[in-house]
Amino acid sequence: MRRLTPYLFVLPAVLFLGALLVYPVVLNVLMSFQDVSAGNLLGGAEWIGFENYRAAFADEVFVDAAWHSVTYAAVSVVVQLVAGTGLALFYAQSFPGARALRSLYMIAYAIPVVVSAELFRWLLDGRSGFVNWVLGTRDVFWLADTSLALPAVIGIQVWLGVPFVLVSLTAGLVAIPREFGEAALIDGASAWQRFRWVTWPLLRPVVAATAVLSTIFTLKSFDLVWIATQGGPAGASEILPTLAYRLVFTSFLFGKGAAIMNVIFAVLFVLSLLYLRTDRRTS
Amino acid sequence: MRVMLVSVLFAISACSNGASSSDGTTLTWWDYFGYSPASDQAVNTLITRYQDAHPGVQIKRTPIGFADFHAKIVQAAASGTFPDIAVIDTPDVPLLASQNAIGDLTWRFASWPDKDKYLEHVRDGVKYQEKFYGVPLRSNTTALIYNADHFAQANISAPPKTWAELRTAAKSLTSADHSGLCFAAAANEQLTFNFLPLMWQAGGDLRTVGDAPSVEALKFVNALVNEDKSVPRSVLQWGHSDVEKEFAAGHCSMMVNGPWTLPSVEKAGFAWAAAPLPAGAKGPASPLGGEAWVVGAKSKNTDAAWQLLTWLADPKNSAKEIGGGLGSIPNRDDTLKDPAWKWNNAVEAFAEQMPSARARSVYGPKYPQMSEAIWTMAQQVMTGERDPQQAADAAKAKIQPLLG
Repeated sequence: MRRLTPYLFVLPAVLFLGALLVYPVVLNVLMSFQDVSAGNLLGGAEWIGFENYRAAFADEVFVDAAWHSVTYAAVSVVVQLVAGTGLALFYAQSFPGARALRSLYMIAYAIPVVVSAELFRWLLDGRSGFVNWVLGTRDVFWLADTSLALPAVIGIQVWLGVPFVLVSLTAGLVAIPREFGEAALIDGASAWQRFRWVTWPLLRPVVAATAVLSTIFTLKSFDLVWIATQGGPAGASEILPTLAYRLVFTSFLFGKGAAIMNVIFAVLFVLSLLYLRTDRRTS
Repeated sequence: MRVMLVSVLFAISACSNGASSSDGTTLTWWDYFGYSPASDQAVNTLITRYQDAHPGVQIKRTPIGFADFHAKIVQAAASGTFPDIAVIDTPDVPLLASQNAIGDLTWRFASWPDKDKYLEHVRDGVKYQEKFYGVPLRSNTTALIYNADHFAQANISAPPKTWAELRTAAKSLTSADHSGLCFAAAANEQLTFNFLPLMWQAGGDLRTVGDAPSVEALKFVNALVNEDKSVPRSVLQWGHSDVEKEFAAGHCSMMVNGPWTLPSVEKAGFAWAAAPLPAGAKGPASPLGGEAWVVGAKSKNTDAAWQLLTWLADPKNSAKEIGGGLGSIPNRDDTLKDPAWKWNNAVEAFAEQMPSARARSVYGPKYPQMSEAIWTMAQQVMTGERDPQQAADAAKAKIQPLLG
């Protein structure tokens, strides 16, 4: 009995993970190898091997969406990190109101994505939008133009993602003992030298972890694009999650949708492993 | 103690379930009419009225949000938990019929005199492979709703009746403050709902996309959006309800929209009216919207369900609730001109188009994929990404293999 006790303690967690994580993932993998449509959702679907994957990779809509996903994640994360690092360093200085201003960023983070996406939809409107008014431009249809829609949603994503980077890096900065910087100052190091040789090396693991997490968040992000453009116009802002959703819930092509979700899953899995490695190195 | 209480409650609920089924019939009913208090109330009123007149029948209604309804009904079909009665969007009839989720009502239709009163296209809407699967209690279509104040300012005396007139009117109504014409053109079914009629008006069809009429329709929207700029490109991110808001705010002088917008247009505070959609080279055509009241294929209460549906179909029992309450446009020969269905002055313009309104369910169970090809094609042209012929050819390549 005593030997069993520890296992009993982990049993709820194992059951929980099994039912809510392993089961759906396995089901999704199985589904991606079958020709599942609305008619045979509960069983009887034909096994078709890698046909769903082959069809997906041969489909220009999928290839476009994959590129959009990569661009969307890469550009958002880089801009987010640069802006977030700058802001974190700026607010790490002590000046009146620094704390209050920094917490203001958290408000943006606390607003549900549904609300901010809906808001941006109207801010970016071509006719009566606030953004055009500020820029003094007219009839620039940010979300309704094939060459602007993806950059526009990337812009919104950056706005949504900066607070997370700011908060993570601020925590990282606080953890760096003040004495290091002061010692360098006494040794005559300039502000840039202090950043480059003292702050940055100590902050780098935090930046790496934040980068991986941000990449995971943006790659699987669905709600922002779905609300702002639904992947349009003419597929210009279609990313893999919106494509998979459309295949499953609009066209009822469950098998093909599952195949695309597994592609996303595989990428996210690798990124998660990467995160665990950077995290382990940090600690 | 708590455990005991819960089990007692369970026992009671189990008893009450058992009791009702032994006394009479309990019909389960799913719909998505909870979208407004008025529509919700209308359905409840009908249900109460029926139960009062038929003491043996209990109706257990479950209103489901429109956004979730689609996924929910497909799940129910797959898992065998389909309700006795479901109110489904007509384009879904072929899909659910092809997976044997909904019951074939053909022989009941055969002996039902009222079936001949429904307009032909309305009847088409509930058919799949020559069999009937539901009763089309609520129908609608779109019309051209216009701001009469803007018309007066632009010296336009009558609503446009042809494509050419529509283009001229939209152009002269476009100013710095408002656009001439708006319609939902976001990347979803709503754009197909708005674009198919243009193809039909030009003499084309979804099945023959790529032919001259479909290219004509694309050229027409291209002229409106890209040459005249009388339709703002913003519509590419707008749904029906966004268009409704922009019209009510005075940002659009005309809109193509359905009767569900009338209550909010009524409150907009300017003079307005509705007219039939302008006709194309091959005459008028409009999209048929609405629902089919279907019976679950595995339902044990098909007789009771059918009785309820035919009772609801009788205008004497339901005209007020289905008309004003649910915003339906009359869809039968005997109700088309009946003042009892004129719940708003604009109903006439919509009703006038009902005989030429066409159902999307004739395109079969793969319609959702075909629809995606159509809205993508229209968006490609409206954004200037492709020229009309190229876009039509691309859509043809996607649709041809789906026709089968």
